[in-house]
Amino acid sequence: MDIKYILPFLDGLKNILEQFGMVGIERSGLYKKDYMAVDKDVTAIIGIVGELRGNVAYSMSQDTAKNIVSSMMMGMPVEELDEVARSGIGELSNMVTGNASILLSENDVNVDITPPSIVFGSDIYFIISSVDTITVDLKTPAGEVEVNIGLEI
Amino acid sequence: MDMVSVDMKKLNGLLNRAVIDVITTMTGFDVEDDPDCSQFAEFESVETIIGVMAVFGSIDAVVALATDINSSKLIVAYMTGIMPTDLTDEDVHDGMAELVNMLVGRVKADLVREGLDLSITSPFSISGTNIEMVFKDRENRICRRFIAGDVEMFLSVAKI
Amino acid sequence: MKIMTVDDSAIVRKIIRSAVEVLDYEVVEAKDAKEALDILEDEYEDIALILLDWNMPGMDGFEMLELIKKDKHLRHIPVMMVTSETGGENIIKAIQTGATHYLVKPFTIEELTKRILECLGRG
Repeated sequence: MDIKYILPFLDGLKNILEQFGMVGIERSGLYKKDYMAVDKDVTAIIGIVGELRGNVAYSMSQDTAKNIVSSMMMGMPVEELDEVARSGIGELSNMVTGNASILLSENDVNVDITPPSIVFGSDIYFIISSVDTITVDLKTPAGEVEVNIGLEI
Repeated sequence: MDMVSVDMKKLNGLLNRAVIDVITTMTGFDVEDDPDCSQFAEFESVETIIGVMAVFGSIDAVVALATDINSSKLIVAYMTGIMPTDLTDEDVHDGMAELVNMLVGRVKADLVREGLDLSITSPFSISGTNIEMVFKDRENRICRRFIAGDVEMFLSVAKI
Repeated sequence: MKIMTVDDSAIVRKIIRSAVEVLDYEVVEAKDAKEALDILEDEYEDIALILLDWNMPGMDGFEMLELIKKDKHLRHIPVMMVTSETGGENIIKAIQTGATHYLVKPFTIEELTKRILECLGRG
């Protein structure tokens, strides 16, 4: 999988988190999976159509999600992932998606990106089979975010 | 040129018919539908599996087919001819994703033939307990219940 | 003899496997065109029929059909397209290119079995 398809989804997240003061984001792992499987409690999934077809999923633990929403709200403590906090994660995903979409078009990759669906739950197992997936672990000040990029290329 | 368009109501109608056709064909179940979706809430406490796919273009929407784990095993067992006890988690996930793929693919083909511009994303599936899916547009969501013997399924279509 | 299924969905391959095994054929599975062509290079003499999906990552089923029908070792192998592509022009395109049959997903096991037998000249 060409790096030019992967970087916009990582940089998109980095750019947006930085806007909320979360600096010093590091890549802590990058590996290839035969299929996309995620077992974290909060996952935002976006679909990609056009020149590329596939899905990108951003997954994190509930604690990481709470920390991110707290940063988005100028440090206000977030005790639980209630409706407000959930919509915060939704907003964040929209921003990341929008940013990634701009970065892709700057690289002359013409795709449409669907708005995110966000899945909350416990013991979640999320799977996209038969698509080669690149998984990137990002260390952020809010906690770890796992980015899974599964594209049919 | 005639304007071709699709709204949520039409998309939902086509999908409902596709659910019945696809599941009946693939499993041999006798599927009935029910507009009352209120039981969906009870689903939150049991382990659920959802096959999901998005359509994009003339209309942007997410299509989700949800059922409890035991029902999903039964559905995939009938699809494949493999005993429910011999099915792996991956089989069940694949089976639910493929069902959604078939029903959305069929509806897309119908709409494209009418002149609409539609793309479909790759299907995926999610399992877990207390699953909740949140979309950008909270209001525009249509749900329908399907029953085949002890198997209960919910199709939810949400505008994104 | 063997029957090959080329489909990116593992579950579709399993469905096809259960139908084919009843007919006493061995099943060879490939998840995309590339894997299928690699297998065919070694095993083409043993393959009695190819069941080919249309929409797959990488090379699509139609392109693979074209390759098969241009190859002197492979072109005699009957190919049945098994796909959710229902467009009439696609069916015509596939048949003109040399596909023996075209089966639209979803299908019943009975329908699949019947079509396989027809492709093998046992209908």
